[in-house]
Amino acid sequence: MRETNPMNKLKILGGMVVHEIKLLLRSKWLLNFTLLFLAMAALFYFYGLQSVETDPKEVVYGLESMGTEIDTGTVDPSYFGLDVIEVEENKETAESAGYSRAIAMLMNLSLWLIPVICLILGSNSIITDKEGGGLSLYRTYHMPFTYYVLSKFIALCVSLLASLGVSYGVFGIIVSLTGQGAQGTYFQTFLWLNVFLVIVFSALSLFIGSISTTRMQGLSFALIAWSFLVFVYEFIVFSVVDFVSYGQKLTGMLLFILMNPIESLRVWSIEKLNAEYIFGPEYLLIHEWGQSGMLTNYLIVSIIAMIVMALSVSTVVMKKRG
Amino acid sequence: MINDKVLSITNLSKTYGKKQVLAPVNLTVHRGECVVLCGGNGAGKSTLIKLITGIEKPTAGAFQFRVQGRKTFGFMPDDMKFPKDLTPLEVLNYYRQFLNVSEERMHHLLQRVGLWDFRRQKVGSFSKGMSQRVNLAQALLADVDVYIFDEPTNGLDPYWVIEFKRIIHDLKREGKTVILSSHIMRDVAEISDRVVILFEGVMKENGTLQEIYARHRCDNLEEVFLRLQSNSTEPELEAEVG
Repeated sequence: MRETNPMNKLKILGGMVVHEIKLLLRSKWLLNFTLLFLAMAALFYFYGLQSVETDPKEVVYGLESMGTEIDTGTVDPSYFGLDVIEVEENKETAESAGYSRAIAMLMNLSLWLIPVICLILGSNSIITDKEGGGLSLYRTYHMPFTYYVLSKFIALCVSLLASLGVSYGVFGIIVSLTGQGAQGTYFQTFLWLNVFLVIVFSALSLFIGSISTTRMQGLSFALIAWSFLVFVYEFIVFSVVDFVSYGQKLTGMLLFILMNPIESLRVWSIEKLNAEYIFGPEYLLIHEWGQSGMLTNYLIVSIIAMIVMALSVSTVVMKKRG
Repeated sequence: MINDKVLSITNLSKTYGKKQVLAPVNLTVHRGECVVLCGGNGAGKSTLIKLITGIEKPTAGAFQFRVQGRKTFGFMPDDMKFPKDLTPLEVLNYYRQFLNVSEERMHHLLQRVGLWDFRRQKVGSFSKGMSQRVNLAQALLADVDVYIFDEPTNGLDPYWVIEFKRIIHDLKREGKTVILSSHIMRDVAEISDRVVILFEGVMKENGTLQEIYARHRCDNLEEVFLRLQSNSTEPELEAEVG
């Protein structure tokens, strides 16, 4: 049965999304994840943001602290990194204030936890329909599978983002009320990182759900995909990059980074926190991309491509395999 | 009668790997008929239903529905598990939106299957029979020419088995075509216009009860089954004796 009126199509899709949101909101999974997000937001506020304030103030650098003056003769003292280092350090300290050990740790926590949460929740949503007969019944209504996949995707994103919004919103309000402007920016970056993670991994989770037939199989696939993207991928990249010619290494590396949402989002957040210096000499390119907005554009394009691909493949797989 | 064909099945078969679960079936269903597919466990009834509803793809053969309207048939699957956190009203509302069916029809069906008073209770708290009635209401939502029921009386208590038969009679009176599978012989005898007996994936019989009884020289379906079974197991028994 194919609906031709665009308004009716939207109405049906809207109804399906509401149905899926209802199911997700009533499941205990989402409540548990909301509590987890709340804990992460609290950690970020009480541990991450406070460390931003205290870290740079305690740092005292090299010879300057010893009060030693070194005669460099006719050679520019900056050659030895004395004068200029002082200037650069001040600048760098100010810029890198958003990125501390605590924030790196919390960022990793998001980069590890949110993908696995999305992968399990999303794949489970499709597998439950497969095991309970809902998907087979849906097929007999001759409705397009695009609606089914899209409704699952939108509902997953909306419910997980609402859960994130509640958790981070509480502390976001505190940050804005206490008037901590700079901290608000870091908080915003952290929130965007989580939003991007939810969107891209919700789409990937539907692909895992579409190829799995049982809950255990879905869970295994979700964990394999997660561990591949989070842990194994970087080793593969390092191995492959060795075979790339020197001139193409940087481009190759950046391409590989954009192909894995975990890595691309990590690089994007670090750049947004003004800490791209940690990438080494090549950071200049990332810094330039960041300044011109190209990094965000590349990230968005790569994420959209991944979402479209994951949703299209899921639709085709479900149409063929049921 | 030729113009009255609602469903034509030609050489429809299904194989999983090397195992053939349904040997080629040829069957024609006419408008207003109630055709009952019967057979023991693993006979191929559900497989045949899954093939004609489009849930599974046949290995070979074809089928064609000749009906008017956008929705081809109403379908009640076997062992359907609706989301536990939803109420019957919410379940039916989900499927209703695909059919453009009025809210009144949905309410009427909930009353017809005796779930009106439970419409706001979660399906997770329902017994097997109550869930089966939600399933029945879902199948009847579409106002179509053909209804397909897979083991519809499973889990229903005696009262609701009788009510289900009444629903089938009502559908027949309205000129609807009904295809259902069952292994309960008394139900088959009461509601069928035509019986198709499947045995180990092979269609063994296709005709009215009288025709089948005449062929097997007996007067009940249990005996027909026993004869079909003994015909198939005799060689094995002989082998054992030998």
